[in-house]
Amino acid sequence: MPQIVAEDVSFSYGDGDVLSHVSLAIDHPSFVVFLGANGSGKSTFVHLLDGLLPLKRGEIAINGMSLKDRNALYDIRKEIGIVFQDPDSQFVSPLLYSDVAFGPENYNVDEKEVEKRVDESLLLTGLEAYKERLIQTLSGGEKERAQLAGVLALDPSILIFDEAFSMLDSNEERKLRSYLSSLRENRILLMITHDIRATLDADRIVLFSDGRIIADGTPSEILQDTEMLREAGIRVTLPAMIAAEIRKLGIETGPVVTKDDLEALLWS
Amino acid sequence: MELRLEHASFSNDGFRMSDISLSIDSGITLLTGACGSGKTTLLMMLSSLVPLESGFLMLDSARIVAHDSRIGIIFQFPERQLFATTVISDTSYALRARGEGKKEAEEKARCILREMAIDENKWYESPFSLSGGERRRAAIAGILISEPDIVLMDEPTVGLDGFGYQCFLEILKKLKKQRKTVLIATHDEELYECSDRTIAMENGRIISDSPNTPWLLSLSERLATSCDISAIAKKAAEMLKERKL
Amino acid sequence: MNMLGAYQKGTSVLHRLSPSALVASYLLFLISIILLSTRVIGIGISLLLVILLYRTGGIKLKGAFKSLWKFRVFIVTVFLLNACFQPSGSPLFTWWFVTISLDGAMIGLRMIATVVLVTLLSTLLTSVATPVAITDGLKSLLHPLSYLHLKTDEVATVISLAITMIPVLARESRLILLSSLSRGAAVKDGKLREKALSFVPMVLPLFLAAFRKADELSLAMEARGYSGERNRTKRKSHYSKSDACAVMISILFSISVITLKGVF
Repeated sequence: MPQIVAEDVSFSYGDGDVLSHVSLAIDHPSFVVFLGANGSGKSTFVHLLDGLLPLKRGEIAINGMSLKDRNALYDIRKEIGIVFQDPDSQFVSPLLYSDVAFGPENYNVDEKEVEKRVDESLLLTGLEAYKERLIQTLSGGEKERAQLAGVLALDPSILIFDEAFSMLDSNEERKLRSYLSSLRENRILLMITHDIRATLDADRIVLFSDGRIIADGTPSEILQDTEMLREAGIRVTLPAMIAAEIRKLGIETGPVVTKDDLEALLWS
Repeated sequence: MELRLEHASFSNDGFRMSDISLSIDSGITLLTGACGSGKTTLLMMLSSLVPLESGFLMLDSARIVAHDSRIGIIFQFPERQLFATTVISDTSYALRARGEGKKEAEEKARCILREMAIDENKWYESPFSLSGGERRRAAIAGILISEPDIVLMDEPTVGLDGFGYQCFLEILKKLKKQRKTVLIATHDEELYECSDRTIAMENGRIISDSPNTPWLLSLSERLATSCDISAIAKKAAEMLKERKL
Repeated sequence: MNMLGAYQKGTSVLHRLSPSALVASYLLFLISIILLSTRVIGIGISLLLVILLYRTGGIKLKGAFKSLWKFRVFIVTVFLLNACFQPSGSPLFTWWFVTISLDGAMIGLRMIATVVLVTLLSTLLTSVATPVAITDGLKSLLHPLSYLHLKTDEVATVISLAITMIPVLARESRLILLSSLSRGAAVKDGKLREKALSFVPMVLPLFLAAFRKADELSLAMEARGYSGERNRTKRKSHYSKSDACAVMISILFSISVITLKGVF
């Protein structure tokens, strides 16, 4: 059972706290969105989860393993897979299969098993035909999927997407999302973003602002408080603004994010 | 001012585009298409920074063969081009590089930094002491300071949160008011609302080119009300109330 | 990555050699060519060797000469440096304070021949094996040194990462160059000092770009469990008869060369 438990976590790079007394628990497979403006602390928090930043104040436990235990880092990193924003800075080898093999090789997995995991990961991300290809010949969306394949090769129980969709166009984003739905089973999926359009299909939204969590609830609860979102520096879409005005006049609308959401509300 | 490409060809990083003809004029035009469809390459061809393999580039009906400072280009993540020791010397660089005196250049820089809402106290600090959003605005200031008539942009909204996006919309509004010719390569669909025309690309070719019908306008027409958010919301609320009854 | 010959797919004997055998043979032949370069007859033997190896690998020599042409300035410089500054023999040609002697010219020519042959051999290597394979071969060959507590695996990883990063940094530097050009930097005319200063707007962003990529990459590597201290999967090398043959031939050749040098 994947589990993230954080208690009273604070962090500073030097000048003042970037994260301030953050506590959070995710204890079953779910799709959670960390929503927040740039500099709100969401990325810092995620880097702490994977031990990429040193945890000095507070406690974090991943699947029961404490981040304070330096020896546990190696095992924790096997449980957490992070797909970053800029695909070009993630690859360790010019060839796709060598790159995807990198993760399991770090854990001294048997050569034959590595081969098997590479094939499975490429299949899961629709890249099996590109196995022998040079990564630089792939499109932007394919590169993000290649990153995902590299991360899946370790079979992590927690998958994190750190602003991973911001550089993709809508078609590529849609394609990548379709792979997400099959990955949700038995895993915690964490999406980090500053855009409400990335909250589609989420089970839960955690709103960060100035290093703190200011809201934590279902999309229905969070997305309808557009004032709070705007003050927290989130990009609120035009349809969402219109829906907010409609709610001010006393009508229920439910969460509205896209043009299609609003049109469906008015004319279906 | 009109910028036009006539039967132009160019290769970038192994990607070849040929026989491209296109004309842009005052107003805001969007350039859309998937990654790898040629948007950045087309912007390079229009920038006058690279020699075309064939065809030509015309600015205001005159052919240009070398870099023309009336064409400004803002590449993706412009904050990565910051290099000077102070914000003000970075912003004023483009003017000093073409011979303007330091005093005049810095005066203009102060003007534009104020417009970009960058705190005065930071003007004489290192550009790297600015926050992410401020850095982007400072970098854009460094390009717009030359007052180019044509402004080309490559994915300007990637990485911008709510605050950053609002600032960017203000910049666009100003450029529109000054009747500049703006071309924005983007996959951000929200920009559709503040632009006049959309050119779509696929595999190195232009596949469509049409004026925009802002969604807000079409919504207001369908609801038979004026084109602003409160009027639309009011009409929509009435409609939904009636439906309930 | 196209400074030397780019990888050409093929099914020749050389293509099918395991990376470590290929790199080992390459290194032995390289040393032999350098040892043979002191005599004209030695250069002739080396040339025959290179031609033979190219035939075995099914790679066209013409393409390799094309890569060589890019280095023509370097080659001419090597000739001049050797020819002009040898303090011996009958002067062939004098211009100002520079004297080219007959001996000097001969040495210069032998130098060029060696440079050409070494480049041709290296181009052959990069034509029959991908950078990944070459790095793997180097890694395997150097691995025994790690028992002496030398961090050979890490060095090989660094080389592999550098190779991966080349196209990425090349693309980014192109954008930085264009961006600087559009702001009036990197000018072609003007006084030398102005010209030099005009490149400043490019230098810092380029450094920062490299550091940023390295920083992000190291983060990603750590997140995928990379650790200098832990063991990584060792790829078992599958050696075949042709590998043994290749290495044997190159060893025999080198030994013959060394012996013959002793004799002559």
